[in-house]
Amino acid sequence: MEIPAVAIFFAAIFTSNILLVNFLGMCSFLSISREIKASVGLGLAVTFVLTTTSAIAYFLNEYILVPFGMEHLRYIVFIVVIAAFVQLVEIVIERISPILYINLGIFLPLITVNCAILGSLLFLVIRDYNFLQSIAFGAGSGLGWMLAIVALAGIRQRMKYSKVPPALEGPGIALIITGLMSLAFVGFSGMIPIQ
Amino acid sequence: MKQSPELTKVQEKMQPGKIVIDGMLGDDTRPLVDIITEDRGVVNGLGLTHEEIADFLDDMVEQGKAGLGDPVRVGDFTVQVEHYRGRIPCPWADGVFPKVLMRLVHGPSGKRLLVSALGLHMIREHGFYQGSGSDYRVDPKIVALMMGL
Amino acid sequence: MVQVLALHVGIVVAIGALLAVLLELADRFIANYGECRIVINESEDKSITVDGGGNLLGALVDRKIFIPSACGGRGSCGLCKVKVHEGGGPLLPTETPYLSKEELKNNVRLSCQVKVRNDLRIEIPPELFSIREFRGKVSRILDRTYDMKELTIDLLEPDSIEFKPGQYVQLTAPEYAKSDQPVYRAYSLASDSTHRNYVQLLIRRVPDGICTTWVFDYLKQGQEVSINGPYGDFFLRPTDREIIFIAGGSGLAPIRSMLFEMVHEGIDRKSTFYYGAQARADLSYVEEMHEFEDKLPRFRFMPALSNPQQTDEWEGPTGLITEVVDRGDHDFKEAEAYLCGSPGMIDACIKVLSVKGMPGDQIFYDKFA
Repeated sequence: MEIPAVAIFFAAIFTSNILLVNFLGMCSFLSISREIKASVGLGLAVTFVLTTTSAIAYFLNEYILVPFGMEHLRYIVFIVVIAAFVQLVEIVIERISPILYINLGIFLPLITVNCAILGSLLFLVIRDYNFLQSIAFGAGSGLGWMLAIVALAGIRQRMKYSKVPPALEGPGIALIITGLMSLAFVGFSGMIPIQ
Repeated sequence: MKQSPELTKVQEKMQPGKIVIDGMLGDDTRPLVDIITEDRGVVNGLGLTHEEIADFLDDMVEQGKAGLGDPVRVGDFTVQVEHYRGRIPCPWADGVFPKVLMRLVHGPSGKRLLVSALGLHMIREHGFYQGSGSDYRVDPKIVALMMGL
Repeated sequence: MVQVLALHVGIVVAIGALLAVLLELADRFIANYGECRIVINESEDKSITVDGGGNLLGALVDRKIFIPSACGGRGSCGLCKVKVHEGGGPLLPTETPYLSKEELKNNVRLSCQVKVRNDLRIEIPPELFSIREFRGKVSRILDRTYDMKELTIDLLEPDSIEFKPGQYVQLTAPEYAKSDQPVYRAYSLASDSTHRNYVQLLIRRVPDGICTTWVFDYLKQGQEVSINGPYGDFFLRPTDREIIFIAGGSGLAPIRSMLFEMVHEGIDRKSTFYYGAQARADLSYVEEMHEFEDKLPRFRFMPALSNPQQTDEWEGPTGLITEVVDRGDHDFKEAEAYLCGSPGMIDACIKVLSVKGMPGDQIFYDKFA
């Protein structure tokens, strides 16, 4: 595949946004997006996990899984790697910012089962990216996810003073807004071919 | 209805032995959010608000305090307010409350209520009237009857 | 086939092991906070050095500095307040519900929520240094009324306690059938302070109370219990003034302890004990009070019933305790009052005493709050 890594990076953020176009990683997206600070924190954590695990996934796939004919064990290996790195991120966040640690609460360890992460790893394997492309894709996906969650947090902040029909309060209106954002981003799709 | 993790944590604290010995949910095994939603419906149906109910009970407690632990007659009611040492936390972690207990008896109907300071706070701030089967359940319909509605 | 399988499994296991090592290293180097010095009350010899990573409450209790706590450090009672002047880290949302604006200005924190990650400078009330934890054995449980028990606890380790009559201790209700975590509850010391090897507590049943249910329905004679203390600044002042004691329910406990003190110290001040109850069934220690009257010639016991039953055949004073005190013949301006009971009773009595001319600084109370 000869697409420049930079192109993949920008595509992953905007035109093939992992959340708004591929609909992966919605769970913590809906809950944490109530607060901008927490959203930024979680976004950075997800980006870090995605970038590092992309690199590792590439190596593991290229040098161990494929040579030994172990592609079918891909899911297990990837999940284990993701889990380990999320734990690492938890330890680091607890050290650096205890407030963020408490605010994220259960959603920090939940990054492990954020399908955006496993999804991105599987994409890069399926699309046969090389090392540079893999890292670009991982970092881009993470930043794209962060873009989406921070954007929604900003909108929800503005919405605090709006009149929302009671039945739609909370997740209801959040999903509708996400849908509208998706419509905008899907409009970009195909602009930069990345697969 | 699916319950948020925050309410699940609150419901955990309402279990027997966590704050009070028999818990705050009585025999009701439904999720907390369902209990609160149902009671809210009843309260609205009666044309009342949580604040109005809490204000009425608060007023009774204040009048009952004059008895210093003995029963007092307040109109059609007999009120007895007792105070025990210590404080207990609200399951919503928004404060600690003295162990004040009010026994309210409505003469004409014979209906009785057992209301604690914590229970009153939970009615006012969280719309929680405790699960059916709990000794401390404040049934909104009974309060409405006592309020003469 | 089997070889391939073994190889694959081996590789996955190897990857897992590598990650585990990585996490272990991270834990050791990043999550390790090293040794932290906690300077207490600006005093070098009161300061302690602990391994970082735990919370402040735990660190202090480990060194036998007993910060009051009813929930055992779970952040639900708000009692473990300590002033943290330096090194406490950011204020956590789990603390804010329990702290007033005044307290926040004064650097008050919940010690169970403050994590020890670096050196700290803290301030705690000096009385807390003389608090000890005691292991004891219940030697007697006596029913005093239908809802009040007298607990006698022989001290095992340490085997003696020093306290001022009027102070209280915290009793630990352990995990039992109805509660899966220990809780701590405060009870005034009712025993004679010159008998240092045992303590007595008066425990009144609290409806749905976790600790009193344990005491009333589960605790047996011979069982070991844990208490810590003594706490409190309610005690008999060494003046010559006339004493007016007022109590209700288990508020009798500290007064009883003070009466023992008066007997031992030969305190010959005029004293009256107004004890309020509803009916005869709520009265206790009547015999013992008459014995005190014999030993202290200027002491009088004045029980008052607010709602005596026909069968009580009560000839003593009736009415609310405030009314009975109001009718009393005392030099209120010169006397001292010691009150113990519910906040409602105490507030009402303070009003009566003030109206009668007793200055505020001659009124002492333990408000059960």
